[in-house]
Amino acid sequence: MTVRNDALPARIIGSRRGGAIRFPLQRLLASPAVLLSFGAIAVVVIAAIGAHVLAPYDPLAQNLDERLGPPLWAGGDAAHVLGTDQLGRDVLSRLMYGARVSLVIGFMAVLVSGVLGIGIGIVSGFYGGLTDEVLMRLGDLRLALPFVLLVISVIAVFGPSLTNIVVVLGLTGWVAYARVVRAEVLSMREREFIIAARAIGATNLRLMFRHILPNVVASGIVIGSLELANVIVLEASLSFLGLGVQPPTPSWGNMLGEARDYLISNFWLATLPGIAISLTAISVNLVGDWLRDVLDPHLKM
Amino acid sequence: MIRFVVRRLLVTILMLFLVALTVFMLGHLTGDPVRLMVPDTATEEDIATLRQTLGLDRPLPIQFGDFLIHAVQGDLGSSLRYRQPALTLVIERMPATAELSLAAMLIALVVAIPAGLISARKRGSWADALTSVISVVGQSMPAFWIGIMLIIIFAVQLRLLPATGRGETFSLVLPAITLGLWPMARIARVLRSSMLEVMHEDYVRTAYAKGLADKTVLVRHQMRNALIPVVTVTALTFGSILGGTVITESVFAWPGVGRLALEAIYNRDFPLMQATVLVVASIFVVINFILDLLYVWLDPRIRLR
Repeated sequence: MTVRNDALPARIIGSRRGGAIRFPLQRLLASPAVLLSFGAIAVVVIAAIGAHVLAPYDPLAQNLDERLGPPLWAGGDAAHVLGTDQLGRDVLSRLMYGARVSLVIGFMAVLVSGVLGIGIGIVSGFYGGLTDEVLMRLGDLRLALPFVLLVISVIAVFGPSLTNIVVVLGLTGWVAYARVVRAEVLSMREREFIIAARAIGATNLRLMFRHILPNVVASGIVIGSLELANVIVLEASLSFLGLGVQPPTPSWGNMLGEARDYLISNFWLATLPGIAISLTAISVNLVGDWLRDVLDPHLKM
Repeated sequence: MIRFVVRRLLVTILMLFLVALTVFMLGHLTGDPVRLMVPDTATEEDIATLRQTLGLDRPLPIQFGDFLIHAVQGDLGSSLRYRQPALTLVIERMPATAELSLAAMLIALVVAIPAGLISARKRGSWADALTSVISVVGQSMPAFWIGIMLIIIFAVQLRLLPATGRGETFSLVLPAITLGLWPMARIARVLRSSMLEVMHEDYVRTAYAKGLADKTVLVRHQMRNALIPVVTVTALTFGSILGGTVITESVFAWPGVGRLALEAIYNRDFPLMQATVLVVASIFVVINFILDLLYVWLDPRIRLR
């Protein structure tokens, strides 16, 4: 990812105004990795949205006669292209419905943490002083707690459910946004357009919403796209441990968790959902990197 | 310098206090920690008795004060399942987790530092491209899946390495690689970009201009500055490693603190769960304190900020 950008002459990366539209498009076409990533994400999104139409089987329908069938290329039959699991359920259909779960949780959690984080970052940077100190120390505290352990203990307390996962991942993910946005607001606070707006009598609320917010949204989107990959992996980890999406609802994580007992008899069962998670996360990360270069080349993550 | 150390120390103590508060509040988030501990079949009477025995019928601040005083004395309550002091159980499992996390960090650093340096100095080479690919992939793939794939390849198919457990020769290899891959990817990435930044600094040009050998410039001037962000990520990833042990230990049946925490959660053993989170978080806070001091040694400018 960075190879590509660093290979470009500095003047291209530096010129945001002149080539804001032309260069990113050129760069997109010049980078097969990003194009492929967009393609992969499109496939996952279509599979998720259209699962009820496109999936060849009901993801919950069991057929005990056809248990642990291998995928087509490993000697399976054409009726189940990606094979069947320990209860004879069609793996392809389950993967498609699993995509739905991953994307819904991913987007919702990123939305919650993004809105919260940008809000906290703006308030923190704008007011400074004690407010800033308290909010940033809270962020430090969150970073000081071992994240996975924190999340699973909260889930253990509240019980695993789709809403709880979104809330927990959403409420704990704000620090990355808040830190970056705060830094941007700090440098923006003394800029002429803010001083001018203040001089004509804009209230603090108006300054924050109308003048500062539009200027930090780009960074928020970049962080959000990179966080999306993390959240998808995290949800899969939780479901894998049995603390996320509960069976029989298929999610990539719990499919993998259930497949653990069949590593010897049918290793495809554990391999396929992992490929789905990894490809999605890699694609989202690459697109996130690309977005960062396009929207905000100077952003330090 | 002393002022800096004292200030960091005070912040560290404050963080430890807040960690304790968070862990304490975990149990009270739903209002009634007793309900988390008992099976669904418990009667109201059982619940009332247990609440009284555990002192949970008192006001919250008093309970927290009590919790804190006991915690400072090393008493984190007793495990409901094992009927042993929770702290003892955690400490018993600590060596396994420490061994695993240190091995993972070691693998990460041993690979990431040369990889980051080479890819920055030979930008655009195949080594650089390879590092970039591996760091994106390593950061995106879920650790538990990597672990399972390693088991399938090295334990099930090739029968080279033990799949699970601890104690056999080489049983550390697969879990340590699994846990180390993520920090490896991050550290390599950060080192590469901070090296690239440092390489064009004036002082580096000056160092070359006054005729210093390439190696001297690299070690004395470039790396010393480029390593500062690396120390930061290392510190932060250490926290995620400690958290990540939960997943890795579960995949490899590694008898460490992470698996203890998971068992505690599955068994509704709330005091034990609290103890594991508290101990792991405290260790992390203390590690961060030590790394803060390391920064100042690396870069005296930080002290002035």
